[in-house]
Amino acid sequence: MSRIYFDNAATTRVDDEVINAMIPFFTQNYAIASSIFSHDDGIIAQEAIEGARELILNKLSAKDYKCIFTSGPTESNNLAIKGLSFAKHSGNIVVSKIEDLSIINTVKFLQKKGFEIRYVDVDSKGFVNLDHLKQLIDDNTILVSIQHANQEIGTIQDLSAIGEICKQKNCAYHCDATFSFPFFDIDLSTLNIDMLTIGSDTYYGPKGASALIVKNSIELEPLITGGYQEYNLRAGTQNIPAIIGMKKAIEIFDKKTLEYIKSLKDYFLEKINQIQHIRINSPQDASHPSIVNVTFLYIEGESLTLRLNLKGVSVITGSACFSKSLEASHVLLSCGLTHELAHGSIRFSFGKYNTFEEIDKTIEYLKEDVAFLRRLSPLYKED
Amino acid sequence: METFESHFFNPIRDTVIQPSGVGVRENKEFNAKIIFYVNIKDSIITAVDYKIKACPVAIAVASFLAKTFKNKPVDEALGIDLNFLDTHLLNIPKQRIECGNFALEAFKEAIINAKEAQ
Repeated sequence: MSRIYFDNAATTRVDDEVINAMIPFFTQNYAIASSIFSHDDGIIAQEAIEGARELILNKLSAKDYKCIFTSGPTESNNLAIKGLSFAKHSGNIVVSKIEDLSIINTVKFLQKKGFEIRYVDVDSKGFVNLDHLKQLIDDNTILVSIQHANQEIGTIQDLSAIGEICKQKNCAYHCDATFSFPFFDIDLSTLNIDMLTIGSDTYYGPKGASALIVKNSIELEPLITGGYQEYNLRAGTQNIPAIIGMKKAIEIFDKKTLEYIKSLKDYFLEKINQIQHIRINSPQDASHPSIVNVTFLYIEGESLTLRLNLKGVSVITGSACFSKSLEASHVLLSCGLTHELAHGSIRFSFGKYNTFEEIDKTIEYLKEDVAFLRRLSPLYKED
Repeated sequence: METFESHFFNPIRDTVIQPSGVGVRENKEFNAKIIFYVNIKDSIITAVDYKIKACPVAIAVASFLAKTFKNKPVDEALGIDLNFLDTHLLNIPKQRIECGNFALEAFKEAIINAKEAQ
């Protein structure tokens, strides 16, 4: 059975061109960059890394920044938040309530170490309340960390407005752009962002690569000590094949790909209206081009997900087993959704390898399974 | 042996038009609700049905109970616990067995109410 993969916000298939770019760094140019002072193979490795660094910084118009390669967005987020907090020693950190767990659980960790954590409210579609943000920042605020695109509902925050508030309040701003880069242009020469996290594996690059883009004036404590790699901020041999793969993925992600993904999402949104009693949790505007989060009223999301899985459709739910914690999604609850709405939610995320036929098929499966589960439900009364 | 999957994907139900006992369990946090309906005659469960909005484990357990205890003595049904489910319904994830208890409690309540109504 050929499966239908609508979980592209979690990770994507790696593009063949990306794999082809990576292979020589496994089989031919497998030296490490630290050997630059010893042999030519090391120079090739070093040049490859620097080429990737340059491409990323140029893409982001990041002139006064450095690009630190890490093992993934979780590590980049940890380095940004813990690294800055450890350098500052004390103070408060402001984050939105709907950040990824790599942010939420990192600030919870710092809370135990004596830092004060303040959470910014979001509205029903996940947009940060800018007035609340202004109220929360004070003279002791060392860092604001607010994401660009939300991982579950796709809300896109106004980076310009958030950056401006941080600038006025004179505090550092870290933005987790794992889910938005390179879907959206991010121009660091105009945005007041001090640190930016980008990933690789949600736009057809490999896992194991990410970068934290850091303004040169920002002081960080390294989390991993050892060698002198990555400006002494991230010790350890660089994962050169993954870095090269990430570079290639950025190079080949073009407008055509973006437009195709957007058209899949638009088509899905048109078709999903054939099913009654649904709630689209993603915002209509300022929304990620690939992500649609939908609640199917009167049923439970995990049951629907499992039935779709049997038919070969991969999606995720904001319901109980979403994180194996038996708790509903913190994102949906923070947006003010009731437990009922949060537990009935499914995230569909589209990618360039998906087709319109796959959406048609999935809509038919959804009609069958939603109707089946509603017939069982004590809350559902047929129209 | 019956599996969690078979009961979840093809839940077995019955028809209970005028139940002699009804049992209800609701969990607001998980927004789950189950209503069991049973008929009892001469201490034998003659029909079992349910309505459920819950996770796959609870649905599978409800189906399993409806199938297993039709035409069985009331006391046999009242005597079972989570261990019985764990032993007789294969593949329930261990950490989710509690979800089955949600259905089991509603089932037993329906039987007790039916006994009391007689």
